[in-house]
Amino acid sequence: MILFFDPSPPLLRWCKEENGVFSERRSMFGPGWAEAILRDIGGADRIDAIGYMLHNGGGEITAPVSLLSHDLLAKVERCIGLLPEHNDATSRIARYWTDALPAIPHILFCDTAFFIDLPGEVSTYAVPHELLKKGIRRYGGDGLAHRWAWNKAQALLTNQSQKLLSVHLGDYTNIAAIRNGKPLETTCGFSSLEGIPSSTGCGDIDPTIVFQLHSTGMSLGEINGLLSRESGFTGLSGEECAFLDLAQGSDPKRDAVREIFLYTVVKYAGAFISVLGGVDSIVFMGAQVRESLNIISEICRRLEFLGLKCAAGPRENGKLWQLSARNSRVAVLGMQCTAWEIMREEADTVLKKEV
Amino acid sequence: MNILVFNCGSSSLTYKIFEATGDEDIPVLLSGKFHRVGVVGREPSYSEISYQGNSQKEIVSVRNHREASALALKHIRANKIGIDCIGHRVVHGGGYFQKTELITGTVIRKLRRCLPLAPIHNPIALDVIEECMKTFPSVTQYVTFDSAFHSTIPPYAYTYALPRKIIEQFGFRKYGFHGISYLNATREATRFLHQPPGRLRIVACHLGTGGSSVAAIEDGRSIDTSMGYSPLSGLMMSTRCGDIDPMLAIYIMAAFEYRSSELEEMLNKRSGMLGVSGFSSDIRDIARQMSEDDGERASLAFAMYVHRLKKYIGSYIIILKGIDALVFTDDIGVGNYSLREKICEDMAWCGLRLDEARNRKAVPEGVSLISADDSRVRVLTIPAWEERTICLEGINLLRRDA
Repeated sequence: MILFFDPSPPLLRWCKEENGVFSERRSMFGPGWAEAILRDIGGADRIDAIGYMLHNGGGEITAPVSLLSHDLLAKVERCIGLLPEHNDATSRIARYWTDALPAIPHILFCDTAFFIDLPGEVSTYAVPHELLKKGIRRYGGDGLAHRWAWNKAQALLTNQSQKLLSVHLGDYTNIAAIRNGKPLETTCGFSSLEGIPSSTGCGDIDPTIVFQLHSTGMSLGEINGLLSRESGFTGLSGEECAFLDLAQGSDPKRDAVREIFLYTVVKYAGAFISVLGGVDSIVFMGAQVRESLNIISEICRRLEFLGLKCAAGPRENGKLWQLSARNSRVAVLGMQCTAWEIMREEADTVLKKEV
Repeated sequence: MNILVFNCGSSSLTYKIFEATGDEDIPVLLSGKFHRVGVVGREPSYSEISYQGNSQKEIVSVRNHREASALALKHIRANKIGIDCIGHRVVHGGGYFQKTELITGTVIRKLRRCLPLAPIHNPIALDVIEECMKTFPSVTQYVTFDSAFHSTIPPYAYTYALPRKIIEQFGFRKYGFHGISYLNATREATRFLHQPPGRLRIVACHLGTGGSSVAAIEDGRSIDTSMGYSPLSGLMMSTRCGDIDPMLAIYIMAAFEYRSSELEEMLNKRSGMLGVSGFSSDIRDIARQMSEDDGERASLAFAMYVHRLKKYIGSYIIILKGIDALVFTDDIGVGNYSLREKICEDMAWCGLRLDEARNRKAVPEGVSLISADDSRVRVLTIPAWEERTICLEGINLLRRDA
């Protein structure tokens, strides 16, 4: 059995995988969390390996997947400040299990590592050097998923696909532009707040807004809460609204929100196609692709002038959809996958090396 | 009919008198500019005037735009030039103004409400308007707004994904600026390409020595632009940072204890090309420095400027579903061919190909076509002609009201 941890405080999200069966769990990250997990899985001796997701590895952690050594864990702890709540939880969980079970392999997944070599003009913010020296740069996000999408697309597409848009759909939709395996753009910046609005995150806004809010007496913590947890689809629609509510919902109240989402996605697609100098293929992936086929075809319709042609009816093959017509100049694929499944596949690359 | 036009920059005041005769061609009778208005520094402020073939340049002491405009008006009176109408540029009309308007008591009251929207630009324009009312109380005056051209941007493009109640409480939305320049670019592109108005899909890049932005224009109307609630967002500018992760502003204040006012000032006045290059806010200086041994930071600044502009151009090409014309305007847009060359690289995907020789020969005084003959997208350079556009707005307004 392999355990995977992807904490999102105050929630502890984790998953156990055994013989290809994944069971996701959500519990509170508080006292007694580890004992509860051991009860759930039936004892520590059933664990063969444990993986941990680190969402921001700063400039230090450069491998997307690696065995977690003592030195690496120390590096993880040095990155806490970049994404305080998430990174702190990941490092504490990793510290706990590596101490408790030193004999089994521990694996670190780093979601920013894929983007570590973004070109300077992409990763740099136009701020003074005194700020750039303090580690302020665009780190990108969701690197594990985008790298996985590139590799899958290479294996699946017969045409030479060098310029790829990888769209990860979900509550934190984000896009990466990849050319010849190397990422050239990402919608995530220093944090994942930048970019496309999410279920509760504002996405791109004029930075002056932060200063205006602060001048009314709001604290930085309150502004952070407002922009990260009360904005996005939920803030705009005035009630809780997840990605699936937008993708599937027929509620006309949400039409305006859906349009804002679609418009932002299409604008980013255009920006990245310009950076790539064209596009050969587009991958839509995520845990909810099956439920999002309507919204995907709406995005594709808006890209038709590029020579993209949608298939008459999307053909599913396993968890894969061929969404473009045969004579389309741009190949479009849908890939249903969870973050756990990607971690499981990636874990093999380091576990096999170990054997 | 003589129309006097005032155009307030943050540290300059340009004014021109046009002789409107009813022709397309509107000769300039007098043109003047005050430089370094209200700038504290070693160099003094000075004034340039050219009138009846004579040009003069002199050092003058003007502490602010009100004093500069008073001097200009005094000069006009001393030369006994008749003024029939006075036009003004106001940067930010907020939700109050969607078009050029004659100045009335009500308009002045609405203008006052717009002052906090553009704290640097709006108050100085109002000062100049008041000075003109004092000197020429019976002359018709009108205001043209830089934000008005963008009042056609649809809600899905101007809405930030913030809580509705916060949006309503603060009026947060995308406004956009440089509208007077985009109006000119649209009109000139349409005329140059012999198209009936409202038939072109245009991406226009207003690249100035201070601020810069991009606009997507369909049927003569703006449908999106890169500046937002304030002129801070969008492209990388001479000293403004352009787009950044909103979390960064929070993180920098929290982690490094910057005060809000300090960081806001830093992002407005010490970032952009100046911040990254470390030595100049002027892309022309930066382009020269790139080939030097220590040109690394200059090269990075230049590459960032190009990259960000390419992203916006790509976005707007997609939302317009392809374009007919790409326009470069204002001082940097018209004056820097190597920048245009970089921006138009690898654009075959949308049917755009630059003609290198034409690009190098583009003239700053008029409209130039710089794309290759087989390019589906026509690429043009067009001078900004802001004062002339303000004058034309006045002529249209008077005709409408007559």
